[in-house]
Amino acid sequence: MTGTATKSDRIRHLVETSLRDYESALVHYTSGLLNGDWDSARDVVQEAFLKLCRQDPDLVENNVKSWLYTVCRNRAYDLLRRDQRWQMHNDALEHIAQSSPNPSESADRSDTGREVLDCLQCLPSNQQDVVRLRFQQNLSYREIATITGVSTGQIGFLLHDAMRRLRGLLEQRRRQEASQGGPS
Amino acid sequence: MKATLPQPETNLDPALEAVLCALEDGGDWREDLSPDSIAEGEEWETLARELGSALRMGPGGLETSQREAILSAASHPVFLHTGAWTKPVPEPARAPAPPYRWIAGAAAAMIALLLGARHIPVTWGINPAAWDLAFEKRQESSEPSFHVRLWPGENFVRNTANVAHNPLSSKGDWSAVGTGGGFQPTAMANVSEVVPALASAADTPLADLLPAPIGAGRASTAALIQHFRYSYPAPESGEALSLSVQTGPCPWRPGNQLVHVGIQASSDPRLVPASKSLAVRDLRLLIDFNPSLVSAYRLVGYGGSEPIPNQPPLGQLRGADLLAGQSITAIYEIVPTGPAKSSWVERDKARWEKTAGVNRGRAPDELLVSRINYRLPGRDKEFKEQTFVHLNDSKTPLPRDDFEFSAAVAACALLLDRAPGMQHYRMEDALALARSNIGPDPDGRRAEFIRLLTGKKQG
Repeated sequence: MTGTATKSDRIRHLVETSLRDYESALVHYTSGLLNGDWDSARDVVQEAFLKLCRQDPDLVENNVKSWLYTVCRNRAYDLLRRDQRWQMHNDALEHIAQSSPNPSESADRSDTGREVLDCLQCLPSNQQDVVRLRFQQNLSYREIATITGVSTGQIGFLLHDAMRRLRGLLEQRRRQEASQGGPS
Repeated sequence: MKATLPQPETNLDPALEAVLCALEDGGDWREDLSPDSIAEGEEWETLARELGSALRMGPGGLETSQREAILSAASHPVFLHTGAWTKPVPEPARAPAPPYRWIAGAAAAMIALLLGARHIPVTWGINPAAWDLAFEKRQESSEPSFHVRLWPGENFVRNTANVAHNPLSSKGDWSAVGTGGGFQPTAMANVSEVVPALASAADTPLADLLPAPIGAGRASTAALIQHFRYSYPAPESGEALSLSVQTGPCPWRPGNQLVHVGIQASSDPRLVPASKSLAVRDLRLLIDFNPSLVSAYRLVGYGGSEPIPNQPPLGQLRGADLLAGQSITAIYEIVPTGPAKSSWVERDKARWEKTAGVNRGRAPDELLVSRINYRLPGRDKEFKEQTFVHLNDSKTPLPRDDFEFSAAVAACALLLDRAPGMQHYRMEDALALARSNIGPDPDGRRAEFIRLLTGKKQG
């Protein structure tokens, strides 16, 4: 009886502290995976926390952060597969490489942040994922490896390659904008 | 410790790598770099900063209502384990029974032993707990009953007809006690109403259990669930039945839970020497949920308005007959108790505490009590077994693929049935769940199910 009460207390404490520490970050991360669909991202994160409420604290207490990211990531990928948004990622890569930006669209995206995010969307999904986990969530290679199931060495390689491609895409985009008189 | 570097065969940019490693380790990336590389590194550092800043843009955070729902669920962490195979639990400390009850119990025990009741761990008449329970029910017989259970957010009402005409109540066993005064036990679910229709479902071709063409009619949800084989453990040596209970998330309504109940008949012919084929007859199961943990529930596939296929009139119902090695499966959807409780929940809670003996030493994590009544071939005696299921019993959980496949089957059938409460769940979700939990599938039934429904989807 005592053990059960203790577990109840522990899981409640775990949920409360995790909510405080990771809620916002998880919504950001999941939204990124879902192409900026904030509503779906919130649903996914809520679902993950509800799932956490049902876990045995013995199994999640020491890795709750990775656990939450993994649950959100898996669910987001399920949604992506379901909605076939996955393919849009790959299509967008060719699109941005082959087409010049629409001037009005460029005006909307004149800020650097928007530019960076647009180009990030053009990276392969696994690279986008590690970039988000590293630069948005500030997770360590080890944590990213746990969440993605990829070795830490491979994480380093994916990040390295992602940054180079991202920079190349940004430079290409800026060159195109410059040749057309600039976005603003 | 340095972060793990990429593989040496890749064409690394030393400045980028230095920046990435410094971000990981917190060191100074400029160390050991040439002036040209430092200039390059500053470019990478700027990009990393822009990236982090851009990725953190946006509203973030959950809606207030979502956060409140989580905190509420955390305050009532009903399901701490995914597995909950049942084992009879030791009886709690309780007050000594009056002498006349012990005398009657001893006499009943002698009779039971003479009749060969050794297979049954808990039998009526020799179990003081069962006697007390019946006694208390009798004392409560003047209480009004609360059997109309509103399904939160849905137009679902508990099938009160099943309760009012509970066939077990007319058999004179423990659940019948008090019916004369209008009292019905908190136990509402009567699987004996279900199982006669299900007993043949395992051998019915799958195509016959689905509407033809698929999508044109209703599906028999309970029969479909029954059609598949699940890995229930065999009864222990000398036992006629094993009872398995597994809790887990409800795929179509994330806040709810499913309770998968399986009864497996022994395939040991020595148990029933009078007949080598028939294992158990007239099997009845009642499930009584703990209202402290469960605020509402339904037996999946048996909504208030859903007719039970080929069901005889309630008064003529008898239990199921199970052949050796056969099993029965039922799935409940339950609503974990939230902070807002209506008065009937409180009343049921008080009743549960009496019947389950919570206030006399039982653990508060008891999810349900199951009562199984059955007979064996060639014997008139009705065996009665009572088992308390704890949330924290997780000795032999049902394999996850079994649990989730059965949930997927239930979801598919409910969707085909256009059952209420499924508006946020799609057939694609259910099929994806089924596909990812197909498991070993030795008889190919699971694959056939997916094929049939996928064919429907594509058609």
